[in-house]
This record gives sequence, C-alpha cells and structure tokens, in this order.
Amino acid sequence: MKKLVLILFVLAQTSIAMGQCRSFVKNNCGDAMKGFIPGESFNAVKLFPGDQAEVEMTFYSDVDYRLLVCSHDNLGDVNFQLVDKEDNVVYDNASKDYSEFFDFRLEGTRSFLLKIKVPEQEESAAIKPQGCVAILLGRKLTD
Amino acid sequence: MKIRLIPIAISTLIVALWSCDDTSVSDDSITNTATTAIEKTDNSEKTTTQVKEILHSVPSPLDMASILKRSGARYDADYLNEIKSVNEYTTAQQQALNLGVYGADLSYASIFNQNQESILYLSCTKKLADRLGLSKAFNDDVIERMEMNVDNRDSLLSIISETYYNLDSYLKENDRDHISAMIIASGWIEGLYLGTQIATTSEDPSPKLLERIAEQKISLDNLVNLVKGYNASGNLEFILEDLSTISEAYGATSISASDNTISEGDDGVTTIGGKTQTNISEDDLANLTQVVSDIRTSYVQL
Repeated sequence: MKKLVLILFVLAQTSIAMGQCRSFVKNNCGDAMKGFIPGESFNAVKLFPGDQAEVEMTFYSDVDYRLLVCSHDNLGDVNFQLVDKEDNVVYDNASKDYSEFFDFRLEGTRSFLLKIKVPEQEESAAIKPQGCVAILLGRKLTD
Repeated sequence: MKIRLIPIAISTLIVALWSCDDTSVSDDSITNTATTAIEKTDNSEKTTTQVKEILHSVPSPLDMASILKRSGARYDADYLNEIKSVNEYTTAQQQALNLGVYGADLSYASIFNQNQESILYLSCTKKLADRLGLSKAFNDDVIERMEMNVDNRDSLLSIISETYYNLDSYLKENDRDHISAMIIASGWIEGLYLGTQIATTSEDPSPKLLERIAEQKISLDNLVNLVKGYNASGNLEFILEDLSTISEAYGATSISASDNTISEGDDGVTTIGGKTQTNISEDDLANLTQVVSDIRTSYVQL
C-alpha cells in the first residue's frame, strides 16, 4: 500500500509539474517569440534554487535564431550559457544582465550544450520557491 | 509516514486530474501549488538535493524543409506519404510514426507554398491525433485558421509549429513521452528521406543540399539521446535500431568545424563564426538513401 501511494504520488507530481509548465509557457513566454517561428518541441522543467538543467541542441548555419529561457520570476536571475564541445563558453547571459533571450546565427552547423542554472537563495528561507524553466527556440525562415 | 503521505497523494492526484484538462491555470496558482508541494517535501524531512535535468532538442522537420528549399531543391509531391493511407493506420505505433511523417510532409508542402496540399496534410495529422487521443491538444479551429491564412506562408508555418508544440507538450504532460519521441524521430527520418531522395534523383545535386544531408549526422546524435531518454519501457528499441542503422550508413561521412569566433552586429544579433566542412561520398550517399528509404517504407507501409 505504502509503495503504491508513493508511486501514485510521484506520477501525480510529474503530471502536475508538466501541466503547470505547459500553462506557464502558454501564458508567459509567447510574446518574447513574436517575429520568430517557434519550434515544435516542448522543453520545460520545474527547478529549485541551485538546480541545473542541460539541453543538447543542434543549430543550422544561416538561420536567424532566438533562444529563449523563460522562467518564473520567483526563481530570480536564471543564468544560461551556450557551451561548445571543447567546453568553451560561446555565450553567457550573465554578460547581458541575465537577458532571457539570445539572438544569433551561425556560419557553420554546430551542436552546443545549453547550461541553465537557477541561482541559490538564502538558506534561511522557510519555503524554497520552485518554478518552471522553459527553453524555446524560434527561427526566422528566409528563402 | 503512511498517514502523512496518503492525504498528500490523494490531494495531488485530484489536482493532477484537474490540471490535465485545464490549460488556463493562472501563473499565480502554479507557483502556489508548487510551493505547497515543496513545503510537504520539507515536512517529510527529505533532504533537498540539487537536480541536474538533461534534455535534448533536435531540429524540426520545418528546418529540414526550409533547408531543402534554400538549397535549390524542387517540390515533388510524389515523395510524400499518400494522404489516402491515413485511414489505414490502426495501431498507436503506426499512428504515432505517421503523425511524424505527415508532419514533415506538411512542413515540406508549406515551405514550398503548396498551401492547399498543406491543408490536406494538416487534416491527416488531425485524424491521427484524434485517434491517438490527442484531440484536446489539436484545437478544432486549426484547420480553419490554416484556410484563413492560406496566402500567408509565415502564418501557416507558425500555425503548424504551434500545433506540433501543443501535441508535444500535451503528450509530455500526460506521461506519453514515448509517443512524442516516436513522432519526433519519424519526422526527422521523413525529413532526411525527402532530402536524400531529392539529392539522388537530381542530375546535379546542389552542394548545399549535400552539405545539409551530411550535417544531419550531427543532429542524429542528439536524436539518439532523446529517444534513449524516453525508452524506459523499451517501446522505442526498434527506433534506436533504425537510428543506429542510419548512423552506420553515413559511413565515412566527415564533418569538421573550425574554431568559434564571436561577433555582435549593430542589430544585436550575435554571429558565431567558424565554418563547418562536410564530405559525403557518392557511395555513402547512395547507401544512406537506400537505408533511410527502407526504414521510412517500414513506417508508412500498411
């Protein structure tokens, strides 16, 4: 019984988390992608302060991209970096006042690792905030 | 512990069932619900550990279709999966695979401004989505919106992207990630099928198209990782085998990249410099074309 309840609990938490993030993206992230054709994949996770997420992404050359890392305000300034295979940081939004989006194009098709880090918050906080972090990729298509 | 968890689990389930149907939950309620869950975790004396989530993202069929057009490829409807086949896909696996295939065909038709054909392919995807129980993710007004925007290609593409995004998020929300992975993988394979068919039936295939086909080897690695991530049930083993076969078919195809350079333009757009050199031999292209065609046929055949 205890095992069943635990399984149900975990499944329900996962479902709630995804549902909440889907709603969050729908209500909060669309405006920042105006002018770009959005991607078809849903990539969002619920994170706590101090958590990290990584996304392997491939970008084609000669496409104008907007990479948007959209998150709940209660998570603070979410940091994201694009890192190449040699672990060189190609972009760090900390250098752009933690801007949520990065507009770029590439001369050659590449894969990068998108590293996301939610800032730590004070240990004394009674309730640790949790929030959605969504990754959206838009592109401008030109003939 | 048992006494504490049962009411939490029951209340959580109720919220979960409710949230599946309601996409208009306010942002505030999301945060509050999340906070409640965390409080309860703290009460059960669980130690908070830092989480590192790993996600994967592969280029969409729309990107491949766009590449085909820009590389000078012509539109040929003969390459597309037949519309009449849609009624014959009866198993969930067939329906998921062909939702990906038709989605790629839809992107291809739309990019090449074949707008009436696009609407037909969108109707196919709606039929399959309905049969997979995804009606709630596929708004009834999508086809109407497509028809209203039939002369505006960018609007059509946005509607298609939005539709597939809604399907993907709905599947992930409802713990059907493996269906999502099937759609993504078969869509990627259909895109590669279209590219290789066009390249090998052209007398003088564009170097840009050959370069793009070779570059798919890069996103193939991401796709394999994505599928592995959703293969807990083993349902995706056959796709992993297919992707492995495609990987082998690339043979000696090489991709090399020069060092990155970064420059920011006046328009605020950063250019990440560093060209990518690709090389795919005629033999490897022929082999890849055959392998991809065989796999694609196994997905669309009745």
